[in-house]
Amino acid sequence: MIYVLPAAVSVAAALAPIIAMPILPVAVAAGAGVLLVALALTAGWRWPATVAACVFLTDYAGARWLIGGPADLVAGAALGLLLLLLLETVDIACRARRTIAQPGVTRSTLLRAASLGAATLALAALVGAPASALAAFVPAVASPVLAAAGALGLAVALAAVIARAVR
Amino acid sequence: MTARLAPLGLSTLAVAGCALALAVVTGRPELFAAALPLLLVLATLARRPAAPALAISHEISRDRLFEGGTIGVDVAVSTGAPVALVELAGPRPAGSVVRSGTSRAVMALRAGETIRWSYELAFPSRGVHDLATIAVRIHDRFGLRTWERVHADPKPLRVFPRIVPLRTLPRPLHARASVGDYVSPAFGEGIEPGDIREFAPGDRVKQVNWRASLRLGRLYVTQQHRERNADVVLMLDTLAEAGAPPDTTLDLGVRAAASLASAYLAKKDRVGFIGYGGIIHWVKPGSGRTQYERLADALARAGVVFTYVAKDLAVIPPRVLPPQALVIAITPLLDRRFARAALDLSARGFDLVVLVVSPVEVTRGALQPSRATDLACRLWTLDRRAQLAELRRQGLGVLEWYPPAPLELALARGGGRRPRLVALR
Repeated sequence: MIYVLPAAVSVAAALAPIIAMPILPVAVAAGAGVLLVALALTAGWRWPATVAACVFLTDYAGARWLIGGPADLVAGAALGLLLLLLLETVDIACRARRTIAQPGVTRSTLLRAASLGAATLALAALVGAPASALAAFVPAVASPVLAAAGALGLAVALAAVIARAVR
Repeated sequence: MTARLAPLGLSTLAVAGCALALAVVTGRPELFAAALPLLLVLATLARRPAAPALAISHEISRDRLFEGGTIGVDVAVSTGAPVALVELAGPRPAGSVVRSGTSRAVMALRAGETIRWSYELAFPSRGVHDLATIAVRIHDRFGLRTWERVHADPKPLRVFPRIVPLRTLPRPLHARASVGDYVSPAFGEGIEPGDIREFAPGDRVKQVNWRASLRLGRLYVTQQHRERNADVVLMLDTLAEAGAPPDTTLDLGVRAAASLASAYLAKKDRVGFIGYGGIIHWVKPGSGRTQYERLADALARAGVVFTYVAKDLAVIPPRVLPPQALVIAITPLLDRRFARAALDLSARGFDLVVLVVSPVEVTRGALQPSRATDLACRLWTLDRRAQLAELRRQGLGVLEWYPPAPLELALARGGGRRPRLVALR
C-alpha cells in the first residue's frame, strides 16, 4: 500500500493535463512524469518525485495556456493537492524502504490529505470570489505586474517562515 | 530534542515556486490555485509546536550467547498525543545481521496507542555489545519539520566464542597440591591403585589389601597415586591478525582458547588468561563455572591494539603467571615480538606449548583466487615452515593448526610427544 498510493496519485496527476488537452505531446510529458515517480519509488530518491511534480505542473500549465478559456480554480486546486500528496507519499515510501511500515501510516496520510483538501477548497472558494470581483477593476496592463508582485510577496513571506522554522 | 526542516519542506517549496512562476508566465489563475495547498502546508511552519512525547521501551531476549546465536529485540512505542509519522531505528550493533524482521520501523500513532515491533539479530562473531540506543525521528503533521532524539536504555550483550569439545589436551608437566584429574607418580590420597606394601603402624584398616594379606599370611596395604590438578595459562597473541571477520586468525585463536579453557576447567584445573598485544590484559587462574565466565568475557573482548612497543612479560604478576604453570601460547606468528616473548618464557623455565594458527589459508580465503595469490601463499607457507623449524630448534614445543582442519587434530599430533607429569609441589 505504501508504494501503491504514490503510484496511483502520480497517475491521477498525469491525467490532469491529458484531460485538459488530450494530445500526444501532453501525454508524453505526463508519461515522463509517471516514469520519474517510478524511478523515485524504485531507487528511494526524493528528487525525481519533485521533478515529476514540476513536470506535471508545466504540462498542465502548457495545456491550459494553449486551450485558453475561463479559469478552472477547482481543477487547479485539485492538481495542487495531488502534487502535495504525491510528494508526501513518495517521501514516506522512501522512508519506509527496508523498514516495517505500520498500516496506520497510509491511513493517517489519506486522512490528512482529505482534511487538507477540504481546507484548500474552502480557501479557494473564499479567496476566489473576492478575487474575481476585484479583477474587474484591475486594468489589463497592470494585471501581470500585480500577479508577479503577489507571487514575489508570497515567496518572500514563505522564505521568512522557513528561515524562522529552521532557526 | 532538535527540530529540523525535513527534505519534504524543500520539495514542497520548489513545487510551490514552480506553480507560482508558471502562473505568472502563463497568466493562468489555475496555477495559483494549484500552489494554494502547497502554500497552506508551508504556512504551518510558522507555528512552533512542541515535540510530541513518545514513551519507548525495548527488551532483548538474552544477554549472553555463543557466536552464531540469535536474540530477539522487542520494541514498544506509545504516545499520549497523536503522532503523524515516527521513524525508529532499533539497536543493531556492528557485526550483527538481521535474521528476521527489520531493525527499522515507520509508524503513525493515535492518542493512547501502543505499537510493538520485533526483530531477530544474529551475531556471527564474538564481542561485547550494548543494545542501548534507539534513534527516533518524529515528523510533524505534514512531514515538513522533524524532531530527532536518541532513546538510551543500557542492554549489555555478550557474545561468547564458540567452543568445540576437546579430548586430547597438552598435559602439564607440573601439578599443584589440589585435587584434580592428573594421576601423580607420588603416593597418597587417591583412587588410582599404585603399589602394595607391608602394613605399617598408622595405616588405616580400609587400606588393607585382604586378598594379598590372605595369600601371603601378613597384612599388606594398597597404596594409591595422588590425583592432582594443574595451572594452565592461555596466552593469546593480540598483536596482529590476518583474514576477514568472523574468521580472522584472532577469531580462530579466541575460539581455540575458549575450547581449551572449557576442557581444562572440566578437568578441575585452574585456568588463567593473558592477552598479549598493544594492551596486556589478564585473568588470574581460577577454576569452576564462574572462572569460565570470566575467561569467556575476556576472550569476547579480545581485539588487536596496534603498538610499536614491545611489551615485557615481567609486568605480569606471579599470581597470574604461576612459575610451574603450563603456558599455551596461541599465535599466528605474524609479529616477531610474540615469538620473542614465548622464547623469553621458555628461557625462564615455564612449561610452554605454542599453538600456531596458520594464517595462510585464512588469508587465501579472504583474497580473490589467482595464480599470484596461490604463489604468494606457497612462498609464505615455506617461509613459515622455516620459522617454525627455528622455534623448534630453540626448544619450543610447537603445535601447528591449519584451519579449517579441526583443532583436535592439531592437539592430537603434538599431545603424544609431551612427557608425563614429572614433579609435585
